[in-house]
Amino acid sequence: MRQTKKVAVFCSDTLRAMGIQNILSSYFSPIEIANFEELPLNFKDLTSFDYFIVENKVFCESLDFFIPRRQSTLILTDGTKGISSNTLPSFCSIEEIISILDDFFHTSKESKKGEDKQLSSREIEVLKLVVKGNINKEIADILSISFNTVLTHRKNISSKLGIKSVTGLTFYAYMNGYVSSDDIRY
Amino acid sequence: MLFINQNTILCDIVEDNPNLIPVLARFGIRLGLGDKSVKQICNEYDINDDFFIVMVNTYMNEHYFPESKVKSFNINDILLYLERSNSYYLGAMLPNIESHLNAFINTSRNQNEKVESIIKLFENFKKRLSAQIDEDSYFFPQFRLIASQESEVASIDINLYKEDNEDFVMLLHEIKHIMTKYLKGAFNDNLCHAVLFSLHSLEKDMIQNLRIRSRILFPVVSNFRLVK
Repeated sequence: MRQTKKVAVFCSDTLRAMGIQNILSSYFSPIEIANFEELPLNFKDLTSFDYFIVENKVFCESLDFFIPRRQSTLILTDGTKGISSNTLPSFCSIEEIISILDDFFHTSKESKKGEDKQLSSREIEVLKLVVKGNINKEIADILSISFNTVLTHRKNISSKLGIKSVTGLTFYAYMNGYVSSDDIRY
Repeated sequence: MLFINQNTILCDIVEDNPNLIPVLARFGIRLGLGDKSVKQICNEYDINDDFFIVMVNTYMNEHYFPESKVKSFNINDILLYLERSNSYYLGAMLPNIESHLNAFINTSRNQNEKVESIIKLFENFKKRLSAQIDEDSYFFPQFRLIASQESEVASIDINLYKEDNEDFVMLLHEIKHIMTKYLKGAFNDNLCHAVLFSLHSLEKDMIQNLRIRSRILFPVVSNFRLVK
């Protein structure tokens, strides 16, 4: 699963705001967009957003908020060309707009390093036992670990692989040669 | 975004959006649409055209869901739509996936015996889906009774019905995920793609129906309970 970007758009011009929203959801999904006509009184409401796209006016009125977030803020301008990095001009081609947005999303946050999705050797042991039909209690006994540790391992396995069902885990384990066809109890 | 209305010539839309065909099928509409408008076709098949239009528009536009309008529809229409979806899944979409899947496995088996175990994933999904469909056929008649106000609500527990309602879509998604990400070794590429396409169109259809369940059916039936 790719990570959903959360974007706050500050734009009082409805048509323009809808245009931005449309481009974002067509080309940059998965994305969550919230539209604000003006800055909320409480900045705390904004801390959950990853990116900000703002009218010049709003930006200037709230420098305190935006300057520290300069890298993840894109300013809307009326020009035909981006004046500096992190500005989005209205009057240029859709191709340019998409390319500016693409750069913005890619460079603003040093893209989160893909966490390690490889299973650890302990997790592989747990996986094998799960697939062979052992219940959590049995796995805890066999590996001499606590019940909760088994649960944690199982949770990590599922989130690393993106597979929750036992049938799915079985397929994965079999495909990768962790178990043989004789081992699998359905 | 593409919207249909009463005057839209249905054929024009379906030509460009063949993924609508399953929706037409569950309304009983057959191909050979001619030059007829949505209204004419609805009259011909005795379908509530407002309902049909909203169903088609929400199906085509993922972000479009006119909640207040859909809520104004008769619950019987919604239940019938979901029931027909279920029969369409069982009678058309599942057999379709199965035939692709069998072809895929039969041609890949000699090169790679492991591919065969995909069947298990699909069987597991099918089992979960049938359970849901059984549940629907138990609860829907009761919802109808309640809606016609001939029965007391207390006899059924809505929460029991709501439980695990999204499970089967999760399982379906998982098969797609596993095939896309974890297949290994030799297998027939073309047939593998066909399986994935057919899984994908079923998933898309089911997500649409989940929206109807969670945003329309659940609030309506939960309401029954409060009123009584």
